[in-house]
Amino acid sequence: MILGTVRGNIVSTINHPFYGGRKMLVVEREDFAGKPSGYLIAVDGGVNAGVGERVLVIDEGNSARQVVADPKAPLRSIIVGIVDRVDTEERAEAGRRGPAASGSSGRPRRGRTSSGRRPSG
Amino acid sequence: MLLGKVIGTVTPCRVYEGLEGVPMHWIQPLDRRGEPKGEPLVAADSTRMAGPGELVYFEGGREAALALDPWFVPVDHSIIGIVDELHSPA
Repeated sequence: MILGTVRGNIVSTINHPFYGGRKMLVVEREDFAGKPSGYLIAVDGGVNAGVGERVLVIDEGNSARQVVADPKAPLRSIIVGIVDRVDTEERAEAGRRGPAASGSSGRPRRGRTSSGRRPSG
Repeated sequence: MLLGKVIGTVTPCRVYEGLEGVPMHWIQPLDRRGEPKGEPLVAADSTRMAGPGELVYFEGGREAALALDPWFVPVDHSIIGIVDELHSPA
């Protein structure tokens, strides 16, 4: 699976029957450090992702076909989740080193130490 | 699935069985803003309606073959649909 951000969508009336009436979104892929790395067009897997939302995308045909329960669907990329937050060891490490840096993807934690406990006293 | 622009047509006189009559086009892959990116490739056209100059989206691998009928054919790229509108701002 990959992480990415929905940047736009596609409107199309002439397409393979499977894609008739399905929401097709342009997802900008993100690498481990969070930087953009290419894009793909994915079908919305029922989570109703909107532009600007960070999403989880299955990028493999067999799994995608299982999600839509159609063994013949010419489908590879499908959005299966909307991501609230990404915590990684690296970013937590960065959080511990730098006072301002947060342990998660950019949002500072209000009143909590980087390990998540409320400061005592 | 990626965006592409149809830049030509390929008409084979002899072709593998199951692919008779399947239109094939030269496609220039595009980035998400519609700018050319990568090497042109030949794709089968599952819609049978794409023409030169049109903005399309295409799939690779097994999904490309699945888009065709009969589907068990040796095809590695297929046009899945023609784009009417693309909203993908910078």
